[in-house]
Amino acid sequence: MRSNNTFAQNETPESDGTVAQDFGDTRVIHLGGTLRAKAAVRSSDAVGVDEMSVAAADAAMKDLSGDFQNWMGDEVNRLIAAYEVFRDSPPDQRDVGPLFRASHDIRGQAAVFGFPIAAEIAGSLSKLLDKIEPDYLPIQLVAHHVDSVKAIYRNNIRDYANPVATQIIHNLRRAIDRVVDARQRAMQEEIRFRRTT
Amino acid sequence: MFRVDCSRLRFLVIDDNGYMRRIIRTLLHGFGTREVFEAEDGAAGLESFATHLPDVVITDWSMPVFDGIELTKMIRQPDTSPNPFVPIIMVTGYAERNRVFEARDAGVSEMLVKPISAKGLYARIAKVVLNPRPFIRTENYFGPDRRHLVKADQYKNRGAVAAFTGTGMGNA
Repeated sequence: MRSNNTFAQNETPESDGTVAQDFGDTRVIHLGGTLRAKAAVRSSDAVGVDEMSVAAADAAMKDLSGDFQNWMGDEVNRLIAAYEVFRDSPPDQRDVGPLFRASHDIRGQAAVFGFPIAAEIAGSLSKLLDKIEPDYLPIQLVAHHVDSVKAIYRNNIRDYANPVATQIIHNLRRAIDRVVDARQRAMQEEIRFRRTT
Repeated sequence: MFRVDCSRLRFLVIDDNGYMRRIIRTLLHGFGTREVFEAEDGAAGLESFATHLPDVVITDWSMPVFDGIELTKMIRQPDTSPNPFVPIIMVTGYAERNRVFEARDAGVSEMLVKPISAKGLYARIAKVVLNPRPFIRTENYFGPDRRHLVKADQYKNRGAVAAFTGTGMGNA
């Protein structure tokens, strides 16, 4: 039993070396290192990173990357389909879930697929869908995001230096600013109305 | 120094997106792993967890019906889970601070924010295998210590205070 802690009570040694110590209503469990014993091996690498394993995984990803263009196309089509279902549903029956998951997936994966700008725009869309109630979602702004991702993919835009990318991002920011301005004006109107009543 | 021999580990990858599962599986095979099981949602993942008893779970957060947070909470049930101590690495597009806290409070061991990379994934695996955090069990929480870089002295000191005040350590 490991026992050098004078404040702990009820130390409970397990066969794998795990030790549990009770401190009042809290139990602290020091794992015995079963997983470490199973998989840790000595390494000559000073920082403990298995550079060869990482390089092999990078090489495997490079082999896979030939499929990324098509995978990105599938994800963009899924986003467009989810948006169209959302747009065409009666407002009281709109389910934001599939649209959110489609945009969230592009946010996470598009950079790996070689489309970092699409990832950024999809990230903006997923935040919008996450933070605003479906009833209050500015559908035009959602459409702007979806169209932007579509344009980025169809024009094969992969870096920020591309002039079309600059224009798309500029247009999207203007659209976001318009929505934010409109929302702020509406809130100010509401405050003014409350003060006068 | 030590490194992790991933060929000795069994992984379970849970993600509703087939392309993401393929990417993670490719990286794991690149690390030398032979045993990689997959599930496409939290419910199937929980079943696969009980069947295959993986050494490490890698899960997405956002999944339909049963998400990665709910899955983590189910796995971290100390009285019913087949292995409540299993390392759980959450791979997610969420990078916001409140999301990180939510994952931590559910019992996630490590988070890896997308876009995923070989180096990032290997680093998380190495961390949970080579330097696992102690587990904490309180009335309201079971999972890895939510404070990183915990030292034994901190426990001693907090234990002493708890013994003195009779309040216990609280939800560490």
